[in-house]
Parts: sequence; C-alpha cells; structure tokens
Amino acid sequence: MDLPQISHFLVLARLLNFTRAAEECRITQPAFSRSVRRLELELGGDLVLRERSLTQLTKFGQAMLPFLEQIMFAADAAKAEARQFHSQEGAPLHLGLSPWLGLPLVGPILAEVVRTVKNVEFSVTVDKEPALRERMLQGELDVIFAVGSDTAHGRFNQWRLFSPTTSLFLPPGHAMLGVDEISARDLADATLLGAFDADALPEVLLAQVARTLGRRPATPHRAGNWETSLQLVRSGFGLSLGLSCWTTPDELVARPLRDLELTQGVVIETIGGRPRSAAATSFIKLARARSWL
Amino acid sequence: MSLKETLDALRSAMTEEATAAYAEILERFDSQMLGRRALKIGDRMPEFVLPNAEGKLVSSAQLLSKHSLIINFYRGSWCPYCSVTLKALDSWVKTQSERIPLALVAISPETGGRASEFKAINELECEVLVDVDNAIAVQFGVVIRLPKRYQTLLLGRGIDPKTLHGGEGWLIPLASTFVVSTGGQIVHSELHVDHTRRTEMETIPPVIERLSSSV
Repeated sequence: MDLPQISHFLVLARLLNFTRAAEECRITQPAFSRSVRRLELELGGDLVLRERSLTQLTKFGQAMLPFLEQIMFAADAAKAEARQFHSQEGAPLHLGLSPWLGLPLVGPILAEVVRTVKNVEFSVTVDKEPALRERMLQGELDVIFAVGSDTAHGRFNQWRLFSPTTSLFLPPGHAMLGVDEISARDLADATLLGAFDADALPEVLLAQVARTLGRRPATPHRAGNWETSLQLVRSGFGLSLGLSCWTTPDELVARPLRDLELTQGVVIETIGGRPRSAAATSFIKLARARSWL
Repeated sequence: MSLKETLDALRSAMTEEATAAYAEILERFDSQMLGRRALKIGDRMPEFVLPNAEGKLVSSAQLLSKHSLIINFYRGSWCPYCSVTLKALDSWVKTQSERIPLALVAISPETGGRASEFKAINELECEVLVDVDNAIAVQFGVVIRLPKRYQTLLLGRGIDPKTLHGGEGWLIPLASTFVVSTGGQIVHSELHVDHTRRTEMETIPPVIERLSSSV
C-alpha cells in the first residue's frame, strides 16, 4: 500500500460519502473508488459497506482504521523529522517523568536526541502519573515516561517498553546482605521506606509484602521519589523497595527481590494523533526501537 | 552454498502449515499491482532519520553523503529467507567497499531491541535500522498486511505483533531491495512477493558496477 491509498480511505472513513470524499481528495470518483478497492484487495477484506444511501465502515474497516491512521501519522511525523535536519527552527521536547523512574534511565536517549536533532530544546517535568497525563492533555508535555498498566485511557497512546524487575536497596554492612535473593518473608522485621500514594511504586510493592506477611512492615518514613528514597537508605532511615533499573549509588547495595513482581510495565505515552516536534518523534522512536533489558 | 541453494533448501524444508501460509501470500498479492505502488527507478528516495541497532539515530542525508546505498526491507527477524539474503548482500558489499563507496542498509519495523539481536545473530556489518510504525516503508510503497494464515503461523511460534511492532496491525514491508545513488535517486528496485525466491545476488552487482563506472 502507499500513502495516497491510505489517505483516500481515511478521508472516506471521516466523510462516509464516496462523492464528497473524492472531491476532497481532488480525484474523480471512479479513480477514488478504484483506489479504495485496491486497498481492500491488498488488506484482504472489505473496508466499506457500499449501499445506495449509506456508506459505512465494515467491522474489518473499523479494525484496520487505527492502524492506517497510525501509519499515516508516522509517515507525516517522519517527514517532519527529516526536514528538521535542514531547518533552523527550534525542536522542543517536553518530557514528563515518573518520580519512580529517574533521569538516568532516559539519559542516553535524551543525549542521542540532543546529539542528532538540530536546535533541540528539552524540558523534564517530574510528577505523579495522573498529573503528568493532565499536563499532557493541556499541551504542556509531548511524551510521558511512566510506570503504568496496559489499560488504554482515551486519547493516550501507550507502548510498554519493558517489565521491570524489583530490588531491595540496603546500606553497606546491613545484616540482610548475607541473603542472596530476598523474598517478602525476609522483610518481617525490616524497617522499609514508604511513599505518599497507594499507587506510588514502593507502596504497590509494600502492599504485596503486607499480603505475604499478613501485616504491613514498619514504615515510619516516606519519600516522594526514587532518589530521596535512596538517600534515606544511605542515611540509615530504612530500606527501599524499588526497581532493579534504578542506578544504585556507590554506597548502597541492591539485592533482587524474589517474589515481588509488578504487573505494571515501564511505558511511554503520547496523545494519539497530536502533531509533535522532530525531537519528540526521535525520542519516541529511540525508546521503542531499543531493548531495555 | 550459493544464496539460491540456501533458499531452495529452506523452501524444501517448509512445514505443511508454512506451505499453506506461503501459498496464501502468492495467491493474495499481485506483483504488478504492488509494483505500481512502490517507488521506481528515477524517483527520489524519501529522506529518513531512523534508530539503528546500536541505539543511534542515522539519517539518510549522512549515509548518502559518503555512499551509494543498497536499501533492503526485510520482513522481520523471523523470516529466514530475509536473513540469508541479507547475509549474502552484506558479505558481497564488504568485498566491494574498498573499491566503491557503497553501504548496505537493512530496514524492518521490529522494535524492542530486535534489530540489535538480528544483527548479532546474523553477524551483519551493515546498518540495521528500525522503521518504527513503517513510516519509511510506506513512503517507499512497500507495506503489506500479512495474510491470516501467516499471522496464525507466527502466533504459533510465539511471535506476537504487539511486542514485535507495538501494534496488532500485522503490517510489514514486502521483501524488497532498492539501490540509491549518492544523489538520492533510485536506480534499481526489486519487490519479492515470493520472499523465498530472490534475485539480489544476480541483479545488484551489475547495477553497482554501472553506478560506479558512471561516477
């Protein structure tokens, strides 16, 4: 298939009228009908129900529509991205980052975007996922890098990048360092660090530990992001449950947690169909292209 | 073994299920019709910026500033016919690159680090680029939807389009190869609806020879 064919179908899906769709595409109606028919042959099914008074998408047409919209969007974004190579205009990238993921994870990708895309101007906003989504809806953010479940929410496009494994972060010399792989049962007498919301990553893991133990372990202190949590570990205020992909500071030790698994994944989210800058397109492509494990 | 012998051996070892899926592809796609969609000799290649297997962004402008390009769209890391064809092209290009400024570029829509695995497993030296959501392949006019039997075949082998491409559209490039001059013009194009029969090793060397002697 090619782009003219896809754009013909997308216009038809919007107008549901062959005559008006052909007019909008500025081709004759027979040529327009042939173009849609050939796309149907190539895709292997009827996209459109052709009835005298009514043009409707078939079930197959409805199923294929988002994929064809996506490919059209991707091609337009790729053209804009290639143009940026010859442009003097700024390429903004407004990134939203979960407080439980951290800049080191996305650092290499940001560096690559800055190295290759001309005139990049990026900003990083760290906030809780619902607040980030709200800001993206308002147009303040282009991409969110977050911990999320695979549920689709309305206008957001989401791609799961990887399923993170979990670790316990301890200070050097801690008694539990003798244990190679730590399970929830080993945490009965530990002092752990909490967070502020039930859906914050350490709290999700704490809830799992509490289910295994039948009670919540001691969590007198709380942190609002991964770096603070690790600083509190360093200062001796407790142990931190977290992700194995966190950068462990030299003074701390990370031990894999055996039976704590996250159903959530590390995801990137964008608003479906919203035009974005070349820098944002490059960032998303780099994030999706690579392996995170 | 020559490329043809390797391809013949692979084809003759096809399972019954794979044979049926393969037959459906041949029946569904008409090379003439697909040929009309694709870029042709004399067309300008669309410019692109794509992540490579090493996680760097590579632009067509950079590539063309130094080399003529052989651009090969491969269906996916799951396609053995694509792998052996690419390996043959890669070895051949290596023997030529001292003589002719030439680079091979392999492109597929597979995400999640598969480009890097594919490159390592097949010991390729060429750039392996990730065409996320087929944004470039569709501009070359080579995107197809994998027919139902083939979808089932791949699903049965644990190959899931959601993790492979980040979407369930089953849209992939047709196995195809283009040669692009340093000026960005397409000087050769071949589409292989029958991905098991490949002519690249016969057609590409004379094209490159002509290209280098005309410079």
